[in-house]
Amino acid sequence: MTDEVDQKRRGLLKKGALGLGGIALASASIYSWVDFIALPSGDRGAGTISTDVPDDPNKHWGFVIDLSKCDGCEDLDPPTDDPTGEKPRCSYACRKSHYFMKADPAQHWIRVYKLKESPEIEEFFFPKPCQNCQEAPCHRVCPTGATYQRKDGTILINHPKCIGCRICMAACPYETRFFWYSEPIVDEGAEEYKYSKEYAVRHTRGTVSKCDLCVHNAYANQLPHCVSACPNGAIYYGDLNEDVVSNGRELLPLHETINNNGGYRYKEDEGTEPSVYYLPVIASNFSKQNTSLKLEIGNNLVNDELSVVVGAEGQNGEPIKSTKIIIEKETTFGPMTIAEGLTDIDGVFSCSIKLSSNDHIIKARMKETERYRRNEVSKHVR
Amino acid sequence: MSDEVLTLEEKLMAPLMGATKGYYAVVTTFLLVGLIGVIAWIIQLIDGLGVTDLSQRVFWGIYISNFIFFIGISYSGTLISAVLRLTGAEWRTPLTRIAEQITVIGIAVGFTYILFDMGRPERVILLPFAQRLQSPLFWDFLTVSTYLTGSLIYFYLPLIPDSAILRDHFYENRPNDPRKFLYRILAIGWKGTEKQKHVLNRSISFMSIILIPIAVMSHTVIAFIFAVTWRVGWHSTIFGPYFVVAAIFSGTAAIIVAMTILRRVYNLQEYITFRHYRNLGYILFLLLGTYFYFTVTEYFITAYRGITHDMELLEAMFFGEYAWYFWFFIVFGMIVPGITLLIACWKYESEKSVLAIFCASSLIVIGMWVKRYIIIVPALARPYVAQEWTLYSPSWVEWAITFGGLATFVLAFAFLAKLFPIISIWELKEEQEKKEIAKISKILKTGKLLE
Repeated sequence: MTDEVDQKRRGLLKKGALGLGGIALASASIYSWVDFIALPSGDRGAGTISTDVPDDPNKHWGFVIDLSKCDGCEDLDPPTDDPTGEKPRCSYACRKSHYFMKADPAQHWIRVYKLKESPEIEEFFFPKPCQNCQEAPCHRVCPTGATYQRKDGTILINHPKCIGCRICMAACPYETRFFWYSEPIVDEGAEEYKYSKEYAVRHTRGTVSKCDLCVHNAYANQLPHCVSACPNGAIYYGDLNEDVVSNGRELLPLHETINNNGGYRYKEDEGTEPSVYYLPVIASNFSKQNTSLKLEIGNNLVNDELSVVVGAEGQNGEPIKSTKIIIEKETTFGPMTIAEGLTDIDGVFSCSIKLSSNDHIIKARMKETERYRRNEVSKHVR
Repeated sequence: MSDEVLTLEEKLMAPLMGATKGYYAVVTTFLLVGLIGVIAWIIQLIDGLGVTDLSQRVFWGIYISNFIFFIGISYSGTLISAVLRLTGAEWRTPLTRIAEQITVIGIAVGFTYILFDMGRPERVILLPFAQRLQSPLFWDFLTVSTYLTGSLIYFYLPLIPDSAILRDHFYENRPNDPRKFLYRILAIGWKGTEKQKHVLNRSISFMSIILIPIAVMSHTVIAFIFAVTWRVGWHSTIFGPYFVVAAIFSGTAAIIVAMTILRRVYNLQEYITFRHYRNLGYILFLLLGTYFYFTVTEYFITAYRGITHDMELLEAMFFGEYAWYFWFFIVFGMIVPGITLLIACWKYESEKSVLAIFCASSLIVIGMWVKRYIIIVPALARPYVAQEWTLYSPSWVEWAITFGGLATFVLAFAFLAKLFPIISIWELKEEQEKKEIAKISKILKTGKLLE
């Protein structure tokens, strides 16, 4: 009887050992399979994923976006080679340099929205890249760790680990995540690149994508494509820890700029700690877009002084009140301000200027909209 | 007495012994539907999720609605078997098997919809390895798989004595039927000794206790997937209990639908009586009331507070584009079935009432699917950053996969109906024996044979 029990027990032990061995084998094979599928096709084997881009914990990449300067590229024609047919150049440059022009449905890693927040506030344009949240909801909810945070705080996607569940898209309060529903149509030029998390150019169907903040450019001391493409220089980028941002034309001190200009972060109250600061619109869009200036300069020199009258009109001919007008004189080394002031109730600003006897080019423009050529008017004075 | 038991066994085993033309017709039809679903899925696997009508904004659609719907349906087993077993409601006995089948099939079908919805279904294997404890999807994975395992065990345990009965029957009467091996394996040497019975009853009681929290958790976690986000219409604190009640509600309705069809097809009027309909009808009405209460709470508070974003969503739901869905759910998913249930339960002793309760339950099941749709889609279609709303109308692939899933549900039911008796034989026998004993002891006590 005891022998029988013993034998049974031994048999059981054997079976148990076999079972355990089987489980171990199965897990080992699953592990290797996980390894296998976690690498993109064509890049299998260790160390082929590019790790060239440094990761400096002292850096913190972010944007400052000056909403006063953004006009949504309304005046420009849409780029001919862009299937989305949208005008904003930042979005276009991003699509082009990340090779997803033909993505269907279209993706906008940076998108310009037209917002109207309060009844009396005029519509304004609002460029929105990934906000690079430091308490990123997308990062928190990701079930596989495909969305990860670099040491420098940048939130990126490791596409080979993405299972395409799209819960990150549900979690993101800024709508900055997109999904590759169909096989990506590769734009010409993308084949040259290897898969890289930092410069997402090789897209994978069934995975989520987003603005990668061009960290590959940042460490090479270059600006993101959207920044350099903005015709108005509205987007500034930089290392927020260094306290400097640049739009490629000028450098701005971060703290001073955002504190002096009412800088804010979008949806601050969501608690996501975004890394993008917005400078609110300080010049009315009304004056930015639908205005024309008329410059009249008197003929008579009275005591070397010329009378100057500037009329500011809206699109329908209505006067623009209390807008700052600047009168400039073109000199060898650039324009020089010779008079400035506010328009009166009739939209008129008048003053007298002193000139030497040479030829002069006199320019009048609105202060807040210095980038808008059409809001400039110049006259030749003899 | 032994004659009676034999007829009971034979009667309940009869569906296993052969199939009618009707059965084949049903199976063929649903196989066809299922096949179209499979073809649609293959197309989707080849071409990617681009074949759906999902977009960058409405990125979850009817797959996710179906997922919640089927997991919700699966609550029937937990309620009927586990809750009613614990509360000692004896009348539940003929319904347990149906309920547990719905549970197991519901979870399995529901879980598959997650796979349909994934961009990279083959990478689902990464989930347990990533160990992302902070991800609600990981919680979901844990709870639903635990729920499925628990339900399978709970489905299997009461099947053991029935398998033994079938094993004995098949070895004796149909030695050429290969099913006898299956029953022998499943019966794991059940002889019906006192010790075995004791162990089985203990295991079943134990499972019914632990299954309830697992079921509650798994649906709560499904609600958390939505509630933890920043989305208007989703970030509600009552979503957990709201979803749990929705699940039990639709699960109970589903069990009435299933049992009415099976009762009709297999002539089980003797076992599934008017009393069952009345009891289940009252439970369903109670749940309807609870769900209505939650619904009113959710929308009333949101509307009263009147945050602009919330109002945009509510306007679209009450008067706008989604008004059809919403009012269909309110009127035909709640009010009409509610009144029908009350009247039918009051005058329950007729086939007419059975039909009325069946219709009400069917409406509830459909209404609850619609409700899941309007939880998911409008909240996504509403732009997050001011822009126009996005339109979403599911493509044929999505519908094909949806109906394919439904067909699989029916097919699995039809398949199991040929493997195991629809009504648990041993439990019914036990109950009858108990009744006999009670009768005899009463006779012994009073000394009268007839009352």
